[in-house]
Amino acid sequence: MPNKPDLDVWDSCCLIGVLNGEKDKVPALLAQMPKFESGDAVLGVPNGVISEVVTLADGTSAAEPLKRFLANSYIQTLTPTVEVSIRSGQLQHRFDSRRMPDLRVKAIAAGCSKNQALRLRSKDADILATALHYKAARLTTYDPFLRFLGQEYITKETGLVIDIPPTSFLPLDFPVEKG
Amino acid sequence: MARKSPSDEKKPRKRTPPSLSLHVEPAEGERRNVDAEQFFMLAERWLRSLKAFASDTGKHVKWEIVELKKASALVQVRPVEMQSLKPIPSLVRQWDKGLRELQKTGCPPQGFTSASLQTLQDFVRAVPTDSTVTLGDGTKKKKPFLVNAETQRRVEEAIASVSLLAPQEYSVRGKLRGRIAILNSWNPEERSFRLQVTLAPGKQVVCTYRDEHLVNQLGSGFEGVAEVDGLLHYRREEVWPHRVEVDAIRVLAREQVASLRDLVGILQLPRGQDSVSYVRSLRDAE
Repeated sequence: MPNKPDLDVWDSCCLIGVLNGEKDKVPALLAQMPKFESGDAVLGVPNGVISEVVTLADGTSAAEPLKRFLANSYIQTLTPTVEVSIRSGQLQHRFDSRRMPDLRVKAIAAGCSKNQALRLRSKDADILATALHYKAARLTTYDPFLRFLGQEYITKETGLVIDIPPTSFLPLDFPVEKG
Repeated sequence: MARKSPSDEKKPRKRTPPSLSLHVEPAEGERRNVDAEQFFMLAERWLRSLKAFASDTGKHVKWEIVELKKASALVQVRPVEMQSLKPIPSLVRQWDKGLRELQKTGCPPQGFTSASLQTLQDFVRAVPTDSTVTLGDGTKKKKPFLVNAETQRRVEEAIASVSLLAPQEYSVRGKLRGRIAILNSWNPEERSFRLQVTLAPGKQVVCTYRDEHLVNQLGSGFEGVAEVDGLLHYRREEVWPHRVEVDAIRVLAREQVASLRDLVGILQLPRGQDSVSYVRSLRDAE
């Protein structure tokens, strides 16, 4: 039986960061591609992420290349099942400062905005629940609150790593051609 | 002053990875040895529940014996990675924490699904009435956990609450990607093929279809990666569907693809926003 590859789920900010040519993100994200192309890992894209990214690109010249990128066979689109929705609800219920008083203080101390530190929003919860349900090895995101939840709670409890892409090099200058 | 010899100097103490223990002793006041058959039957069920729990958390491990002694009858195990044999302390902590939480609340703890709760129930139900059974985390820091009638009741409560949440089987309209494996198109009443999902190498999803034109697409896409679109049928707690009623197939191997590099800088977010603040502006507006 072939080995099971790792699942790396990407949040919308990763794909949008590439489309927007963000220098602090593109080199590290491009550096992840060999593991997907070689079959060592699968790039998981939740339906919610596809919806946010496609909506942004729709009607622009970015729509067609984005569609062609999503056709790569190393990408697995992740359907939100009933169980993903239930888990998303449980996460929203849990990570709410009204029920967890120290959440806000800790999240702000970790660099989250006061507004975001109040509670886990439904779209963020859907993406986190998807990564947990599909037993992903990591959720790649630049979002401060999701990363805080990962460091403070989720990784210890489930093993799911929530962080920016792992990289062994510092961001370098790269040529960006604006469309 | 006499100099310390190198052997006198304190060596850094190596931390032992945490483990889990099962301890069985005759009920208070009884002076007898533990029945071996009873002990091994109980230990086997305990191990089965640990295995189910590890599987629920997505960890591929085996459990190795750290200690096995008569005191009165104690077995201590720890999970190790299958290939590297490296211990996984987080799994030990999660199990111990989850069990203590379950005893307090009767709610399914994080990481436990109804499959692992069922095996846990098998174990706690097998606890003999004439013995005292305790579970530990291999350290003396925490008081061992006594398995008793209250534990049985709490596990039953947790199973009942899990059963209420998601239906036994359900269907969702969606897409699934995988490699087309076995094609069965000779019978027009039962046209089907199998789809092998990359993330579940041992699983083949049965895909049935009615549109006979799909056969042509399948023929050319055989053994290639395809995306099926249709009604996905799931069983509770299974990550991937067991069956798909296919409406459309896209053979990805034939599509012209773009690389991530092709997407760099091809659109500009409004007002010079970056991707994180743009996504937040969408999600915080809810």
